[in-house]
Amino acid sequence: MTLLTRSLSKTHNLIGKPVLARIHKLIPFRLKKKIIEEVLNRAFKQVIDDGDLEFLKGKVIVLNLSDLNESIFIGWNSSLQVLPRGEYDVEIRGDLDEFVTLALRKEDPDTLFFQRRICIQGDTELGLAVKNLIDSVDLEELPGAIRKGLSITETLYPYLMPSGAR
Amino acid sequence: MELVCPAGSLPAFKAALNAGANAIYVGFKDDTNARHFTGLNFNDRQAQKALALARDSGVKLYVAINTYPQPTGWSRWQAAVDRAVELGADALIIADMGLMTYVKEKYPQQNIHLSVQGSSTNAASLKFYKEEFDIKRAVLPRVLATKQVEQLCEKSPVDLEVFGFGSLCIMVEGRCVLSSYITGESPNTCGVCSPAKHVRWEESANSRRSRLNNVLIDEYQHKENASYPTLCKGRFKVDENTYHALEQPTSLSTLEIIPQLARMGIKAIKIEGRQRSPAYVEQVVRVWREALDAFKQNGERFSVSPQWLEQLDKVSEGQQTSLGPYSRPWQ
Ligand code: SF4
Repeated sequence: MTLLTRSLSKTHNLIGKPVLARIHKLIPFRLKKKIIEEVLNRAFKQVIDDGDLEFLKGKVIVLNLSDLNESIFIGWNSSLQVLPRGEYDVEIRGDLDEFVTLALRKEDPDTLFFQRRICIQGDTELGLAVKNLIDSVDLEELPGAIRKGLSITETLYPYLMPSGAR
Repeated sequence: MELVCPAGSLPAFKAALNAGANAIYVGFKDDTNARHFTGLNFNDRQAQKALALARDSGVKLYVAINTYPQPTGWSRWQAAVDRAVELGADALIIADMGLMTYVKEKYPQQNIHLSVQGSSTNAASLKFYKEEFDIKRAVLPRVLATKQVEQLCEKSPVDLEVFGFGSLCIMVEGRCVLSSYITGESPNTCGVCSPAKHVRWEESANSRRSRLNNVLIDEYQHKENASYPTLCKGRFKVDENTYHALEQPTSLSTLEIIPQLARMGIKAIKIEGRQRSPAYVEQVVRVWREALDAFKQNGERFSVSPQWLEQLDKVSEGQQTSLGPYSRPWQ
């Protein structure tokens, strides 16, 4: 690991993440909801058009970013929606880094799960279906803005998370 | 040797293409294939796209219709064959004889590969499939020792394909109904072993437990690697000892016997894992491509690179690989 990588990753862990956790708490729910819904519905557009999200009807999935102490409740009603806290069917839990690793397809989700870096509790079938759907999203066909975001994250990835590429 | 790679989604398909597959096998979104999970597999649009990509790069596309039709669903299996033929698949991977008859009668020109689920392990059986259904290739179950594969190669009337890498599933492969003992479902009848709807993971402060239809399969201590909750890979109490009484969670890897397999006359090597992610497909196929290319270049001087092993171990079930039955001298 080079010095630069080490210091960047240290900054990310010592300052970046706590700051992120703070900022994130300051953003009002309504705004957060709007942004996340916008991104999700664009990213999953093809899957939605194929009618492949119907099985989510009436179900609630929670993404629990344990290090940020943040849970995002997601449901489906003709579009993906961010819901207020409440009951849920399945919870997928892990550190932010693990979710970024997954979004960039740097590691196989089963591997992260076996290594205990990701936990799934509740309705396993639903959790698995969500995993499969995420896998079926073609990154090359994502809208420009999202692709751009991913590619910036990809460039930074080795610096911020040298451990991600274990 | 042809490298046959799995794809459960279009991105996985692209990953296999980029990493150097010679052929890619896929399934449709229903119980006509042995990886029937929500969100996995191909609809017609995706299958057509996959085919176009395959044609562009000179890669073959196989469609797995490898479960056994159940009394209530025969038309679904017929429809899957019709769709695959219409698509222009290079071969259909089939296990059931009734379905093979349907293909032979309706589409006599269509190539058929005998699925591993057909569990054909001797020359007489291979000859039967050849004569009756004109199969072009058979995928051998992961239950044979190297010596047995070698003998089969000498006598087989059809090309043979063996598994190169993937989760070990060994119990009289193709005929295992162990999971139906607790869930009522098994790979051949319903397309899944340990169906997800029966799986529960319980996390507590220092352990993770897996349950299959409420039956405890395993308990992992802090930091201990978990594995798939299949009945065959659970830890059981036998007399006073608790251990993997049936099978260890490990993956099969036959990298080191590539030269032997080639010498025997094996025509194709299959990578398991349509249920796995594009990241897995990319990593495993890349390693195998490099290994097969290295063998082509160096012939008998071929040796396995430690990096390959490290890469494969990482994505392996139980984080370890073995030669499985290939190494069993007593068979
Ligand atoms: S119980 Fe084990 S051997 Fe049987 S089908 Fe499932 S994974 Fe294979």
